[in-house]
Amino acid sequence: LGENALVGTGGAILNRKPMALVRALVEAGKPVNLVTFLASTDAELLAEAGLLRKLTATYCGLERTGRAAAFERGVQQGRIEWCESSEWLLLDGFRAAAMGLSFLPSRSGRGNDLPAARELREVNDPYSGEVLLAHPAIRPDVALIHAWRADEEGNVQLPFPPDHLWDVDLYLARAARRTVVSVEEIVSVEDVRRTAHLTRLTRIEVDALVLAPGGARPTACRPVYEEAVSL
Amino acid sequence: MTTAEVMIGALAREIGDDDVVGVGLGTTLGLIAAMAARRTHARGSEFTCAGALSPEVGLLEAMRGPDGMAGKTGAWISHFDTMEMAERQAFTLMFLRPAQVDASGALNVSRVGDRRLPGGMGAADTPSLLPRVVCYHTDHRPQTMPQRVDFVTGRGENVKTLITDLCVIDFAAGSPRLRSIHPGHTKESVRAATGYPLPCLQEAGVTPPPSTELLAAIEEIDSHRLRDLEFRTSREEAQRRLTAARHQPLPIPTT
Repeated sequence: LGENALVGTGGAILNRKPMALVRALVEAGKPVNLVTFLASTDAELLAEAGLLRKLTATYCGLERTGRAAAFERGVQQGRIEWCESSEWLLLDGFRAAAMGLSFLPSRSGRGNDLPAARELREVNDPYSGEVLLAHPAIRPDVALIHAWRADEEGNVQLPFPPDHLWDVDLYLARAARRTVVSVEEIVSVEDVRRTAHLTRLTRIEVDALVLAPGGARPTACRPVYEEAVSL
Repeated sequence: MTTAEVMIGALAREIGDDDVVGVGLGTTLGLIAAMAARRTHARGSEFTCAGALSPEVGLLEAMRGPDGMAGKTGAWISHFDTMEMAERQAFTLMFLRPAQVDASGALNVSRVGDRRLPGGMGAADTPSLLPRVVCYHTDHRPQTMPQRVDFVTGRGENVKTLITDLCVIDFAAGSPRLRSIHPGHTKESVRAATGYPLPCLQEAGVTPPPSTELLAAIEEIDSHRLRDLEFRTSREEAQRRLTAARHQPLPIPTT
């Protein structure tokens, strides 16, 4: 990655954050722009290392364990740009990029202050004439995702029932120019064929696979471990 | 009867038999109300919680996520499908807990003064999509109920009711009117705590307490009293109870 790349991270708050890959980013030492649905330890670690330039997310915090202190300091001191987004803005952005479009039309956000803050444009529905918001495509240079397991060909699996918001990661992976997935375990092609209903990302969509047991810690990776939280 | 229970009663009263309620894991009172309404006066209602469709679990199991709800729901709905449901108004009602709600019903979860808040998640989206949004707030003060919010995270037109720790405010006619006052408070004390003029609905009286049946459902759903999580003075104790309870084995189902 070059300097100031747009990096997308998967997971949601205290769940399945790609922390091993984020630590690799910190070691690489280059400033990044981060986009993620619900930011937590990913943004916080990059902020602490002084490498986070800009965060686009719908939330940044540590849920019941408190606020993201290094991130908040960075925003207050003007070192980090906080680009508040909404769930539809982000998911539509990933979906538009995944479809090769530059935007998706939506009713979401009409009448509030976010469209002006994000400089969104409007679009006319050519059939009904309805004025809609054009949610712009978000195309990360790389998507970093941590998952339960994969085969050596790169077919990636999550357990069932999946964790909340699991499908957002799929759109992120398909929106990004490159997708790197770290997993708890690499299993045989036969094992994955026997449980193909659990495959969520295919080898066509995964550019690199990393074996990283514990790679989501301190956040959770079901069914292997829970988040490491003490109050 | 605690303020939390009066508020859950008022929230549950907003739910009818035909409602499909969207409610997040972070809005505990709203979630308890949706669960309790389905067990009492609105058995036909549905709610979704972290992707599970009307899971037959208590609050603690819901907060434990998929492992706590597995086997207790007939459907897991992806987030994309949830958002699509909102776009086509398959959800009829959403509960939100913003930092501020103003006289137009507009809500703010983004920043108050120059203090940045953690982020609004779907609060920017659902008020422009769903036909009916019910907001609640556990700390009714002039700063949290201003004439005009500092930032419009979600627009106000679809916000129909606001339930606070002091009263119930009706926005159905487009402007705020006092519908009822919780026991222990007066018109004067509510108006002094509100940043905009608050005329009364003609029938404005005391907020009715939850029925015996609803109270029993609340007790069954939330035996760990996690309904205290959203109140400043009781949050810390409730978090300790949550942490202790989360690490116990899941209770054996009774049905």
